[in-house]
Amino acid sequence: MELRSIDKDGTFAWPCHTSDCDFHDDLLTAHISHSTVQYQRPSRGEVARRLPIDAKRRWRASGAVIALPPCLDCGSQTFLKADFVPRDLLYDNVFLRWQDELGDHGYLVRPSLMRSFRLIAMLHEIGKFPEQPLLPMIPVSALARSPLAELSLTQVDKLWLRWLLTGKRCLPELSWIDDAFHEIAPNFRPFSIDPRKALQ
Amino acid sequence: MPNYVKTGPFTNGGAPGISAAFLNAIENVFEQSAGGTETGKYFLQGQGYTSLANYGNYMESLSRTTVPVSVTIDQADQAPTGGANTPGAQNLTSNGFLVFFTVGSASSAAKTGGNFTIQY
Repeated sequence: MELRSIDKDGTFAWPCHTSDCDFHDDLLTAHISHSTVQYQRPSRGEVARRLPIDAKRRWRASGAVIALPPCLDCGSQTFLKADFVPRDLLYDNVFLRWQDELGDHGYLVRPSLMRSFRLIAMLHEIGKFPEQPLLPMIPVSALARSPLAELSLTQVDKLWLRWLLTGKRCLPELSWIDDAFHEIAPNFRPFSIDPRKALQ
Repeated sequence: MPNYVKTGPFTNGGAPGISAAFLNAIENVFEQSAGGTETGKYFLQGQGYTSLANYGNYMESLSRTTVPVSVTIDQADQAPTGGANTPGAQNLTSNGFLVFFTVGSASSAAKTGGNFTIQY
């Protein structure tokens, strides 16, 4: 099942998929450093190249997953998709359309995907995810030194991914957030995906 | 995908009519929306010629196009036996996933099986 939360300290939570299991409602938790949180991919013999990019510079999915610890009650085990390629961002249901109380429309990356991207980035930071993640996320250590420190990790990731994927800037009164992003990643160019096309 | 609740049988000009809700529910099976799930069963049985020999099957999902977030498997129907190790999953795509197990030693009848849930 999808991650329900992930904290700045690397603790995350997810539900068990078995409806009558104790951990279906009471979430399972683990820390990124735990030995049972593992990067897994098909063996080298099954994958032609180390990097998921072929000779024509097209990304190829590596088949990798993040194995989470088995459920303490029923033993079921969740594997998170960890081999995202750009096509996954362009054509599939990555964005959610939402409408605020004033009737303005906006687009957000699906929270379940957002937490997966964050977990992959955190595992990469501590050396447990050897591939280069498709999407760079702001390191938690960089957040602590920026004006973004007062925001929750979820809030930062929502705004970051929206900027990263669509290039869409924040409202004028929140321009300090854009400034903070540019300070952390001065040379990064957003993907500039049009969510309306991705949602078609 | 929770247990399917049948809407029909349909009759020409009679109830139940073809409604937007019905059509959207059907379409959501073939292209899961965010937060949706697809559930099913897997069962693997085979032989391992040597220690750590790998036995698996690609489970094709009904849903296409939507990128899944995760897959969860259990061994509710058949605990790993005959030398089978705990099963794993890889290659999770918008078309399905690979479920597999390895054997601890050469085995002629290793097997395991249970439920899967793909989360979108």
